Amino acid sequence: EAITLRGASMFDEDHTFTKTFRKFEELVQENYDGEVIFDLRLNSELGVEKDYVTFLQQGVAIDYTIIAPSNMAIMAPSIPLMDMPFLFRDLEHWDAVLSSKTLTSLEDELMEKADIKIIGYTGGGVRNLVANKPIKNMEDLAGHKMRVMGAPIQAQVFAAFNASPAAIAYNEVYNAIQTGVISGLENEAAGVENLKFYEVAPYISQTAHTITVRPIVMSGKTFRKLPEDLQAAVLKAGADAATFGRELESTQDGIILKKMADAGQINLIEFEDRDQLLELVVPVQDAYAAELGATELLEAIRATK
Amino acid sequence: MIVSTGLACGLLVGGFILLVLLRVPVAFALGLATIPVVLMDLRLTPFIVLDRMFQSYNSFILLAVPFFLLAANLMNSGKITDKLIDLARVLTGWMPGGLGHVNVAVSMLFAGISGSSTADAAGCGKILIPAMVREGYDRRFAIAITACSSVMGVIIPPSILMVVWGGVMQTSVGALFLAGAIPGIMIGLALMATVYGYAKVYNYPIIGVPTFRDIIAAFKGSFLAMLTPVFVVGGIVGGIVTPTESAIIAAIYSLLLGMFVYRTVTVRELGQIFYETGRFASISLFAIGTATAFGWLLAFYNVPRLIVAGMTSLEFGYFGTALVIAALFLFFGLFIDAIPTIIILGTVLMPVAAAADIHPIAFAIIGIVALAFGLVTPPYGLCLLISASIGGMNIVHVMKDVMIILLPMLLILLLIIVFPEIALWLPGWLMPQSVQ
Amino acid sequence: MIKNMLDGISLVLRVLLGILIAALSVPVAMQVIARYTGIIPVYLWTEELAGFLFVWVVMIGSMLAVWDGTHFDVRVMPDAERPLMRLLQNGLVHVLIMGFGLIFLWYGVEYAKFGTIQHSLMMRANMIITFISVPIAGAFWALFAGYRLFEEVEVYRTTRSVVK
Ligand code: NA
Ligand code: NA
Repeated sequence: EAITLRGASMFDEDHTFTKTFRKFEELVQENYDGEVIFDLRLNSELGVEKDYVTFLQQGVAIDYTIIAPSNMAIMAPSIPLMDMPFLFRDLEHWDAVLSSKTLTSLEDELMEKADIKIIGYTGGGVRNLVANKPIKNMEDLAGHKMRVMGAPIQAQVFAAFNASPAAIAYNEVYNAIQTGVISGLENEAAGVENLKFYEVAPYISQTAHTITVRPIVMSGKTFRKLPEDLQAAVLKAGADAATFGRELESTQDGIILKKMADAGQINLIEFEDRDQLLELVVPVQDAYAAELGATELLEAIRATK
Repeated sequence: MIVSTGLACGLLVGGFILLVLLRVPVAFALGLATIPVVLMDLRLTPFIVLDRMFQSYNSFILLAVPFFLLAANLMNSGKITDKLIDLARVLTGWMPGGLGHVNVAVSMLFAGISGSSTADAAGCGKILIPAMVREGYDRRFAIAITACSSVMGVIIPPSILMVVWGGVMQTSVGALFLAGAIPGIMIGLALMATVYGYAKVYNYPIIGVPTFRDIIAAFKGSFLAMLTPVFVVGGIVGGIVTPTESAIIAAIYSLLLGMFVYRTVTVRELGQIFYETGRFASISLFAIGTATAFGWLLAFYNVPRLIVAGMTSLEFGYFGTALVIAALFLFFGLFIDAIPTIIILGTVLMPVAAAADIHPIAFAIIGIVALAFGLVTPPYGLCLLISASIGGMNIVHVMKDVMIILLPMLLILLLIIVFPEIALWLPGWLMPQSVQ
Repeated sequence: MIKNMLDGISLVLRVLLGILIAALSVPVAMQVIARYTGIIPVYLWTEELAGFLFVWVVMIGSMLAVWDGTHFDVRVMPDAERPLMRLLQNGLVHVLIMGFGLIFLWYGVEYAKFGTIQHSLMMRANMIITFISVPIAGAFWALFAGYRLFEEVEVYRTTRSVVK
């Protein structure tokens, strides 16, 4: 009898996540002899990422998805560490960490606290400041009202940069900028394009503060029910689809940015004081890791070549 | 077992209709109808019903609902509504069917201050339905005109539905507010024409021609209250506050008016107003929760997607698609609350609308106007239920009048579909960047 | 006796509901004040607190509406005239609400447990503080609907004895 696996995504067929899911489906079929049917639900049909966390933990409704680490913080507070600003020096460093076993302790915590299994790491979008005015240096950044993701570490980091962070719901950001409640946000190129943030905030200050990490996850309850050879196929396909997704998004990111700049939708602004950000962020990262008892992990990530 | 789409759809919709016929409250009927499906389907448990319901309350946007209601209740208790009725009286009372026109006009004024149709039906209905009956109007007509005119509450800005729509579909709430103004006023005029027709047929009386002093007094009395839309709509359009914030500002402003300017609200009453707001807001919000769970299950079984696939395959073009969109919102509005319909159906139809070259703001106004009709259509029409209970009648007996009054309003909806400029002109003029 | 007790409970719920609405205004107003005047700093927990209060407003309101019978229903069928038919007509609604309440109580206990493994992001509050409202609401719907059912049966018994 055929096994059905149901996935969910907040985005449409063109998004890199969806392409990664399609690759995952293809690879599972290739690696597994039995029959598997994939039922991927797009466009937030079954809810948003926060909801998916609940579904996966309970093993209802969906079996796999891609979730931003900040959205899993409600069950596993250490997870946003893998996504915090200035964790990675550059794309090579980022790729090296994600291809290694460095993050195993976080995976174990997620499995233990939320019964969610990470089967691969995609991502690769570079997050910059997106604002309704040019932010060129520390002076411009001081007091700049900007939206950050819900995880506390995000607010802590931008507060340390002297900005004025606010955790506004993602779906209220556009209106909040338009109405002047905030002056901007931080986001990757795909998000700026998809949600048309450039209409209200056309200045992209290239701080490149985060290279995104987006785990491909499966419900532990689903995974344990699968036959062993399918489990193996899922793990292999997860890892390979993740590699595919990372390559896709990290190359796409620059292309999308250039496309928007060429179309006159955005103005790319050079951020002059990036070195200062790098200095300011270290104590915040250290304190956060210490609070979570994850100092060793942070050291290991930093030490990865 | 794995429940098929057909069976699930039958159990959900059939169960819901059966339960409603058995007089189970709509909110519970929506919840109860989900239970057989989630028990039968291997992939689901009742957990999902609890969770979808509970999580639907986890929304900063919905917070605007109790605050807009609080503002409206403060207006009702603070006799601000009376001042608006006085103003409506001098403006329209001299026409045949005077109180009927007053009923419509006060709803337009009320709509400009409040984001809620139900508060309008409750606040104005309590005063005007008994007054109309006393003056010899047919009770059924009084109930029907109160219900139908109250739908302007969510079409004329500010509007709870537009706040939700803008949040869910990434459309500028300010632009939506502006886009609703002209269609709302047109509906008001259509209603007045209907009242005029009724007055001619049934010989309804005029109230009397106001003197110059009456006019001055009415304008003076309502001046401060009429500033509220300036704050709320101006605040949002001008880029000063978020919609949720505008709701609490409206509430605080009404509170200050009631307590310190008109001095009609005492501290003691304030407790009662808070309680009444909570009581009423929670009844609507609770229904949003079970409706969200119900809608989630429909989505889980692909029902909306099948509807959309069927629609796009028919290739209706602009006009046909817009008509079908309006029809779908009208149909869903019969059974489900407007907010979950926006969440379920609106998001699904958005790509369909885009493919047919319907402007996002025109799409929103078509959807919201169609959903507003749902407020007065059974089996689930909150404004009709409220006015009918104030008038002390079963809604079955007022249906005929509701249908007659709705007809010219439907014509306005049709006009918006044919000439989307009706909705787009004002935002295009005042917020050009949002309409490009 | 039981009636008095349930009336007492509902009175407490009413007072709570009023207080919650008033309390709800505080964090949202604080956000506005912080944003426009700078008198107080922008607190990130205000939105979270507003969310907690909001859930309780809805849940407590839903319990009271069961007691008061003010949830909206649609009366397409005519009122039954004979006592037995009336008992069936009204009683069935109470039975169904009771059933829904018991389902919420039963699965709600699990749901509340699920809440305990979550912590809010800003205040680090254990999420049981809102999740517990689900089984509590279920219990009160069942309790209130159960008593209304009991009343319907009483009415039926007295009218039947009068007819005899
Ligand atoms: Na309005
Ligand atoms: Na009216």
